[in-house]
Amino acid sequence: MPLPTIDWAAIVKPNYVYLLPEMIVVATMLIVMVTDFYVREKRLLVWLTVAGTVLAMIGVFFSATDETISSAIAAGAPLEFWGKMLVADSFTFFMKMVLLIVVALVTMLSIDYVEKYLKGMFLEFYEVLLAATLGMMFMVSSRDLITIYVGLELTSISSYILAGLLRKDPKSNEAALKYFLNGALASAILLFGVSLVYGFTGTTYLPDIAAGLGHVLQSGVAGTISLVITAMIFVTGGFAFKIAAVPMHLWAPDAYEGAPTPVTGFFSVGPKGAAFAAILRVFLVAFGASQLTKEWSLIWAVLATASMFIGNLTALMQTNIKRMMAYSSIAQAGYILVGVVASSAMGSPMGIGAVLFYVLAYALTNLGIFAVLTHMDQEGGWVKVSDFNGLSQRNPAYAWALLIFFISLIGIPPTAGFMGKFFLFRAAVGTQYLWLAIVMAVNSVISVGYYYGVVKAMFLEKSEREPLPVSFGVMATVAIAFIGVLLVGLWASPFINFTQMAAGLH
Amino acid sequence: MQALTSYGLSIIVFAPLLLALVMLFVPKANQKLLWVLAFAGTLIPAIPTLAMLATWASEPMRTEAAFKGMKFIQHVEWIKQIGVNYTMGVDGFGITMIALSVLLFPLALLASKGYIKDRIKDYLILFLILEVGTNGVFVSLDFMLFYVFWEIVLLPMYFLIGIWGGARREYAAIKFFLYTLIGSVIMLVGAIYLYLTTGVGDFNLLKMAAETSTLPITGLTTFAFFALLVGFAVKVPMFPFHTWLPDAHVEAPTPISMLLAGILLKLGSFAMVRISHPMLPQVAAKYATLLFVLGVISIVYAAAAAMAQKDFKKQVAYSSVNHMGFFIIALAAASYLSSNGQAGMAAVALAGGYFVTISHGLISPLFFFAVGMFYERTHTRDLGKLGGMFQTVPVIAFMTAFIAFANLGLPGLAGFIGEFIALTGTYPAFGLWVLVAGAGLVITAAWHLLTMRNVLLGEAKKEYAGLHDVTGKEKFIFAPLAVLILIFGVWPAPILNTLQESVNALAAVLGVK
Repeated sequence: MPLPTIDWAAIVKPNYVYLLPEMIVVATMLIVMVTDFYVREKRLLVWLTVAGTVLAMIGVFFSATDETISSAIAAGAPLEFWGKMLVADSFTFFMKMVLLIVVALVTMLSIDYVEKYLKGMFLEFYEVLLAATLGMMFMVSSRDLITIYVGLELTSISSYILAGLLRKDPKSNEAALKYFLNGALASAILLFGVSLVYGFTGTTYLPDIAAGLGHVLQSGVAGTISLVITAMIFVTGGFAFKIAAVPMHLWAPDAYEGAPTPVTGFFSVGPKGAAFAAILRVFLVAFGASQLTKEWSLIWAVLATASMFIGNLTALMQTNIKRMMAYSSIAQAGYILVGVVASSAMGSPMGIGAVLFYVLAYALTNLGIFAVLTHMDQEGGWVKVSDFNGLSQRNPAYAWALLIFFISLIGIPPTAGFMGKFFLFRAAVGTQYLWLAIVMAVNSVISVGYYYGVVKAMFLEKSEREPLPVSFGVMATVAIAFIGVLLVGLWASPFINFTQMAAGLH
Repeated sequence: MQALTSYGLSIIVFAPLLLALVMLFVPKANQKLLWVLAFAGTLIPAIPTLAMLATWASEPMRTEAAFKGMKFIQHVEWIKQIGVNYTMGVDGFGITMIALSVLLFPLALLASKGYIKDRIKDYLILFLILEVGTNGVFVSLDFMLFYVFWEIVLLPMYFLIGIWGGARREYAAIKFFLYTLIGSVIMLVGAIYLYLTTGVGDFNLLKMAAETSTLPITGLTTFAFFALLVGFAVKVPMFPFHTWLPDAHVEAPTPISMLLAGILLKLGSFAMVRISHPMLPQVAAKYATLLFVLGVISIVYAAAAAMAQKDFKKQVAYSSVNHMGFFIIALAAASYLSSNGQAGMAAVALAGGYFVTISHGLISPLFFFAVGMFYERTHTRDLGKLGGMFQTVPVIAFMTAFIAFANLGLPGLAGFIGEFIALTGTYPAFGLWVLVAGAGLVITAAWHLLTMRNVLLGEAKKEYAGLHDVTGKEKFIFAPLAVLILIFGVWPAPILNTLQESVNALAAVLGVK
């Protein structure tokens, strides 16, 4: 019997090419799990995870450059796959890339931490991390509320587990429980908002929602406008929780403080970045064209202002650095929201580009910071500001790197954070939100107050302590983040190109 | 020579950075090499500067829109999506500041030798990075480039005060940092507004100014002007933004005080003539009187405040506010006069005002250095405790007297020329109100004489018997600056000639309606 000829063209359809990164991540999960049964040296799992994420990045590259997909993007009508659940636009690819970089860095910086404080729970840690990654990737690549929600839940549930991995530590338990209870509530709120939207429009597919809302609002039935706004507020509330924006931020300090340090680093950039992508997608695509744009962008503007002020002012009073970084990341969410608000002025990809650029800059910077925090964390979860005393004498490279990262968060050149802030300023000023730009400028200065405490401890205080042992994973992460922060800051052109390309949101 | 001048500005800015990077890899223990590298870093920029000064007259002035009135242009594309370029160039305002900077940095470094005793490697690296920032500001023709250098100045200064400063160093350092940062972020928002409004899509300062100078006066342009002006006024510093200065100056180590007074304050005055006033001359003209009043208050208030101080160094610090006030009133007068069609008189005021900043850049570092010489020997700056120094350390006392006379504006020394021309130029604009500023001069003269009486005259004090007099290093720092103060005091022409074209051009721009 002649062998059937395999029609590769039929199998390797863009369907699968598009899903290549996700499939690689799933495969990595399986491989990691199986490998764990057979090897004694569990550190191998780490390198498998890193290899998997790097392969997934290559996968993203392949799917983004696939001829069918890229020509559809160039034509302005990106393809949709798997029953219109996933969309192949450049925004998706950019976000996937950023998230994979985040996961790769988190994986690297956590190696020694997992061995030391998580009693070698390599399998649990990396398996769950990969699951969260998968969730984030679906979250950023979908334009259907259901898929976005499923991705969001996969990310969230994985995050709850990650937060509680320090099983013997009551703080970690508290973190996981608080995160879980609050998160469940937020999901319910989000779902309720989604159900209202579905009630109006009869669909969960974002472009159809936009069209449906247009009809509903034009129908002129009394009370529709206030009901639609109610739906939007519920959706806003649900997403605000995921990015820890005021007033849905109260879980963040406890969760950040109790979670294992590398996990905190992951929380502050990974799920947050994905949630921002989802916010942009939902609000711009589904609600963007409606005449209610002014209303929802005002809601976000108020949340942004509150997040900036409350985050920064509360951070001033913290003595535990992880808690301080929690409040700092609340404030950072406020900055990014400025970009979201600015992008509500449709036809201006300036805002979306600014958000994407800032997310990239923020991810690099914050992971660098958390790599140093992981290095400093000698008690499995607790880092005081005074632990940093005299670090410039003990581990000068880390002290200087941390200084540069803080500068980047404040937004002082020549760093990535400065360019990010610059684009946010430009987007805000360019879309008649001058006041928001000024609020942001004032807040950048307030934030100096708490970073200053750490810098002062590192450079101006003296300490008799011995230098801490340096671990390879942390050092590599710090080095990559450091180079990244300076590179994006000084040689911004190619990154601006990426974000501008990716700003074509569909 | 050709290569030296055509790449000169980049060398001036980045040679210190290069040396600082090299020093990162030199072990801490090898102090000798560190000092050699640091001196190389501060001296290398002097070479192209001298070459540029030598060929200044023969170098043609550029006429393209992006470099109008500038010389020694460097232009490379940087972030083309938003119209940011690596554009450097100098006019009269810039080259004089660069010359001042390459003169003061090596002298301040020399003053640090022996004075700074711990963490020498950190100190020297930060010192060089500081020079990168200041030199960069003076040559930038692109707003983003300017802003990057402007902010680069902040951090090294914070550490230089915070680590090596006096008792309240941490407070002074963070105060300096916060004041400047709040000024500069608001300035960034203002500049972005102007950038978006003009629609040139380019951050080139001259191209932007060509567009923005004709914008109507609205709430937003007024905001933009004050956003820029306040950012710069903090650095100058102008009343009421001056309160960081006495703290920073008093707590900073002597060499850093020299640089603060000599160079860092000039970042503000330079930025005003380069950015805020050329960009929005119409708004500047409208608020010229306000600026004048603030300048006069700076002069009188700072003079009176100086008189009330018990701390020698604080007195000198306040005198900086006082002198920079003369620049402010001259600038205000220039925009007032230009907008009323008297560009000729405006040019006089501008030249005088800018001359003040230069002469102050020569005199005040030396004054701080003199205070430092006393402090090193007596370990006090308390005016009540010092005394009889003419008996104890005659040479230092003579040097101090020379500086004090230069600072109070004695004719024949550089301080007098600038203030005289500035007042002459200001008179046609604000009439007899200039007399109020004149009152500041009188108070200044009075406290200088009082301080000299306290510190220098009188019986030799027993506790200070046997102090050693001036050292060779101190003479070496004193001589070049003192000679320049003398020369420019009787023959200001070299500076005024260098400034001439730029001053005229700015006076014309300020009259744009």
